Amino acid sequence: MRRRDALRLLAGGAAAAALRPTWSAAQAQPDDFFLFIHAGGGWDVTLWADPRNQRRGLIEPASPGNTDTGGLEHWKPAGDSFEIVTAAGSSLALGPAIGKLFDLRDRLTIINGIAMNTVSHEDGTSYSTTGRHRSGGAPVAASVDVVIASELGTAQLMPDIAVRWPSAFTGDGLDRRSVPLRVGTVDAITRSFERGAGPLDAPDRDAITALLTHQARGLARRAAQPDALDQLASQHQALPPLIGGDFTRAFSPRQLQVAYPEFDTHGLLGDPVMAAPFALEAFRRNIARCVGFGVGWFDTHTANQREHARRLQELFGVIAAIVRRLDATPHPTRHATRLSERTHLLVVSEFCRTPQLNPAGGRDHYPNNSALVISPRFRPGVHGKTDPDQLLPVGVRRFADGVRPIAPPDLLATFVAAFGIDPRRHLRDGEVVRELLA
Amino acid sequence: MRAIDREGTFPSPLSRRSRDIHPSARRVARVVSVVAIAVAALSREARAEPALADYRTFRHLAIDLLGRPPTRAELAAFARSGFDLGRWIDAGLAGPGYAERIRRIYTDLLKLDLPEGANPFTPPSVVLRWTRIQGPDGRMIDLYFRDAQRRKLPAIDGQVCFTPAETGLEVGPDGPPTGTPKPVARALLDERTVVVKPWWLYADHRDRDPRDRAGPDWLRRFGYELAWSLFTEPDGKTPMTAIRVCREEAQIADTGRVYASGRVVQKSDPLLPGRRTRLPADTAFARANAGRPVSCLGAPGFESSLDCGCGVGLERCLPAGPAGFVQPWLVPLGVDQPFERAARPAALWMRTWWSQEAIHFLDRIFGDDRDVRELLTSPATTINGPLAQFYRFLAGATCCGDGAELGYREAEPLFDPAAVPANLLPHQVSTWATVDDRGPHAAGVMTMPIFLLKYPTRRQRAHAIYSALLCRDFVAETARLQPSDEPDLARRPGCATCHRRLEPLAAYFARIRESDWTYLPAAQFPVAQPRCASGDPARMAGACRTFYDPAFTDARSAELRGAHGDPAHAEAGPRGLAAEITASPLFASCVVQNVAQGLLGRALTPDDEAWKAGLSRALVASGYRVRPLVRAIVMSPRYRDRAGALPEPGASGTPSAPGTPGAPSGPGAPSAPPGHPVAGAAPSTAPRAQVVPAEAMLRAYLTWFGGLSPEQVVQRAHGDHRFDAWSYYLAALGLPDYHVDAPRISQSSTVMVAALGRLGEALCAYAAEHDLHDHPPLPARAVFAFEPAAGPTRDQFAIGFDVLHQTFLGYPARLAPADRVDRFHALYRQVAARHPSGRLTSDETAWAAVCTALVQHPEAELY
Repeated sequence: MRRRDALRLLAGGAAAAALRPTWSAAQAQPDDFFLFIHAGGGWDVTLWADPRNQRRGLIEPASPGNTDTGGLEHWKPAGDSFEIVTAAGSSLALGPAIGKLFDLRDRLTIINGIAMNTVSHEDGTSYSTTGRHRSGGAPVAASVDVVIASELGTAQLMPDIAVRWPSAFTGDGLDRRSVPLRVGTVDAITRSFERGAGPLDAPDRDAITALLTHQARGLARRAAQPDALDQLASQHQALPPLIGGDFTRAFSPRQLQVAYPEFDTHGLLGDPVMAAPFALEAFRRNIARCVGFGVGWFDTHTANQREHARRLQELFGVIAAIVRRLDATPHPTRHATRLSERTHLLVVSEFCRTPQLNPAGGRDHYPNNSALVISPRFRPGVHGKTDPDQLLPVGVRRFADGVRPIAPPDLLATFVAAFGIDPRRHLRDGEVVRELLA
Repeated sequence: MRAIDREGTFPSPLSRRSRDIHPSARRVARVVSVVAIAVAALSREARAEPALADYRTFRHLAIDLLGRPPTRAELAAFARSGFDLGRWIDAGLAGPGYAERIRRIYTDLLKLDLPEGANPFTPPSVVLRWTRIQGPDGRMIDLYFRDAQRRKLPAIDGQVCFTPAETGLEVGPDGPPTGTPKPVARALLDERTVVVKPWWLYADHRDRDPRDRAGPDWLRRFGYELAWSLFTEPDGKTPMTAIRVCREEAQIADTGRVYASGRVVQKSDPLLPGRRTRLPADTAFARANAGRPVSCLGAPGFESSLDCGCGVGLERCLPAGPAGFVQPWLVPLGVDQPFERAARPAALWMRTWWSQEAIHFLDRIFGDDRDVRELLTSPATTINGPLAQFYRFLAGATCCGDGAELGYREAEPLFDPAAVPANLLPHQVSTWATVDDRGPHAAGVMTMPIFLLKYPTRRQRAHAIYSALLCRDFVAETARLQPSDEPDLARRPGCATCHRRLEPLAAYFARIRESDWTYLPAAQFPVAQPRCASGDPARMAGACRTFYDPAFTDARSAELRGAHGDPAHAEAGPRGLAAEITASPLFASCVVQNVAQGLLGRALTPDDEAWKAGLSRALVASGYRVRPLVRAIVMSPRYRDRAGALPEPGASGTPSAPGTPGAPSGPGAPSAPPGHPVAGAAPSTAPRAQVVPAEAMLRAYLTWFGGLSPEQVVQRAHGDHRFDAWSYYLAALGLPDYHVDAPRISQSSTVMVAALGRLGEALCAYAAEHDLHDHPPLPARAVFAFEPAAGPTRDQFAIGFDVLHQTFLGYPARLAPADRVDRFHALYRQVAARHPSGRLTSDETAWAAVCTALVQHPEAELY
């Protein structure tokens, strides 16, 4: 049975009670926040989520000969390779690139052995974020941020912000107010809302905005396909508070750096890291529902594999800093609630890297993957696994179509279902993996 | 008022004929041209005042063929009786805007640019590093040298040509030297260094006594300028007239002698005092060929000879440094119209031009209406001065590494240096020359550095071509991967679904090294290599492991990496792939699909199949010329239907409930980039508005406001802080970013609306100052080309409003909804009342507000 058939079965009520939809009992949570991170290029899971430190089968583990170990907080030599990172009282076994995230190990939900069936950057990126392979070179389904923004975020000024996050607004059933703001840098957002010292002032701009909103709505009423015009009307309508308030000052890179000094843009990950404080500030001010950002340079086919572990460590340092800030920040609308109690992180990449090194000292693309979730809705621990010799996904549970590994549609279906969203509305494939949920 | 389509004067000859198309494609083409001529003649005689739909189609045509919306003058000509639309279209098809439009379809597919920090071109044999020493007179002087340069004196062999003891300075792996400088004696300075007038400082550097030194006029003369760090002496004031280079680097011979020191170097040897690196060891090549001639144009000469320098005027080398050349960047409208310039390192200098080579190559195909198969088959290319320098002197620097162990010592180039025009000099960045034949291995875009680095692996290269030019994908929806020992992915369970097709295609690139452009000739790299045979392939090492695949090696021979998919394809090379792809029946239909989807702004559907098939046959019959194809598309009813994306004033659309959470957005939401199907819904042929392409929108803004260049906009408005940097706007306008493979965005977002609003407000304020406040004669006014009345009545306002309406929306205001003038007049009065005095008068401010609203109007931003 194919996964899509399984979903149809569920929709028809023929599923067993054990497969009772999670979302049927859940309530929509309009005050949750969502942060999505894409590690662009394909990460090496043997350095963190699915550590391998022994030469076996295809596995050529990280060693000082192929990896820059200087500066890796958790690198402890063991033979030619490293010592698996563990802690007393925890079943987690992690790689040496886990960095500061290790301190938050009890909150990590790691999904290993995700079957990708692709080694194309574009396709893997789409599959990880939409649950569908590409067709005609383009995404064919909405990405998870768009789904959540559409279902839970339309009341926000900016439901979905995508800073180099591969957002895809595609398909039926989406509210057009959730069209993601796709930009290359957070600067592009804040600068666009700035206005210079010209002859017009804020009331003039409000009048212009009102006129343009009216014009777009009028055109939409008469158009056979009104969506683009409706969308434009909504966007004009959203402008005044963003232009007129202190948005541009509070979200300027300089101000963000002052307010969030723990995020360093001078490391290997560079400026894209600034999207993290942007997201935190947007959540704190309750103006965004979803923020996604991408950090790059994990595509290490050559000697740049040497610094892959340090890059990962930086990424996990950023994530740890985000979580600590969320812990320290009150929720903007819920009394006596920390932001971290209502904020959910999903970290993905397009695939992992080959267990063996290529002649250039790098690792190529490999159709296995891991993902990381940090959310009070998810059960901490490691789920899924790979085979010991070839790092390929292994079937670990029975799905409606038989025993198989977890695939991206399953993870995404589980993620959206955790917040009361019926995955069938947006995902063709995928089953809710209940054991991932808290 | 007669609509063009009802009059039949805006013909769709091909589509109307497609139902009863003759089997002979040539006949189809002939029919097309006959009908087109007849219709063009009709259009001259029978047109009356255009309807709104005609204006909208004319705007679409201008955006697609001219790269911007129509000007008021063009609209006036269009409205006049006797306007020959067919001739106008043909003129557009002959212009650069058309070529750019079609090129953009292919650049969006191939994304030929590299991430900012990726693949800097820094092979040590061509990089002249910079350091400083103290001259005999106590002044600091710049010194250039190459890392790893062989020198006779052991203390400096492979390093800068002075020891720390001689200069007091330590030269690290990068950055400025450290330590306390001490003067270098004149005799030592002259013994170790030479003063050279380099190519980046002198246009006539090849002359015996160069005099044409770089200056401010170089930007005008050659299109580039030097950063100050290369233009002045270390004091920042004294003009730099020449540079000091270590003596070995200044040599100009084309051939040297192989040098072997006879020294034995172990990894465990301690560093000698004052040395940053261990003494260089002789390469195996040097040991075997000591005393024999070696070319100085490749890495082996550099690595193994004392005689090989950077050539006349140091033309074989690039000056390193954090900011050597002031380069254009942010160039969506072309490298000659940059939105920003910045001093950038020379490592990025070449990359800029690799990318531009592909653009010029595509422009030549589409601009000259050449056979579109040349994308893959052409031996020709178009290069400028830096590219000429690269192909003559620099490209061979990445050859040959440990290939020398297998006898590969001099690069067999993909671009024959002898084919490079000798008179094209490195500083001539704006001079582009076509080279008709790059050499026997050249195959269109596939053998250009930008393609080979953008797609560094054999499989990536094959995949990119397969998907862009056959419109096919490798997708394994249901494959289940199992652990397997099968090394051949074309056979391995699960993998075979895609790799059965991909591996043979990738084999065409087996003779071009990955992440490089080095060609691997059959003489040194036979597909089956007995020299690398091994009974225990796991122990393969050195060059054998680099070039041959242990997975396909046995005791008799080893197989060239990547060749396993089809050894014959490895021999055929990229030209073989070009032949296979262009011979596929999918090729022509993919060209039609890509171009039609780009121009129609929607995916083709099953309803379009017959039309697409007819166009494909016509494309083949025309000798694969894209211009007739585009002409047929833009003259078809399908193209004209795009005008319906925006409603007529009297139209009544379907009821919608905008903003209702969870409300369906209608079939086929306009979310996919142009040319791609919108998924999750049944494909629709219904016209749907999308944002004007960012390039056309930018050009529109520059045209509307007086033909400003991007840099002029910044310069003129800088004093008022209206602009700081274009990059903020560009990032928000939906441009694709080929550096990071971010796709083009075809739908609006709040940031895009805000960015366009910011641009519009600032430029309208500028126009109000220029046109109204300064009050030049009417012909000199870009936007407010009318005489405004003070405190205008509704009718007086309507006159000026119509000028602005035509400027920004592309049609007369009388064709707009009846209340539009009144609503804008209300805005005018509201703003005027709030600004009784100021730098601008109340009327001038009010007109600026009207302009600001119109320039961001939905009908200006969508099409």
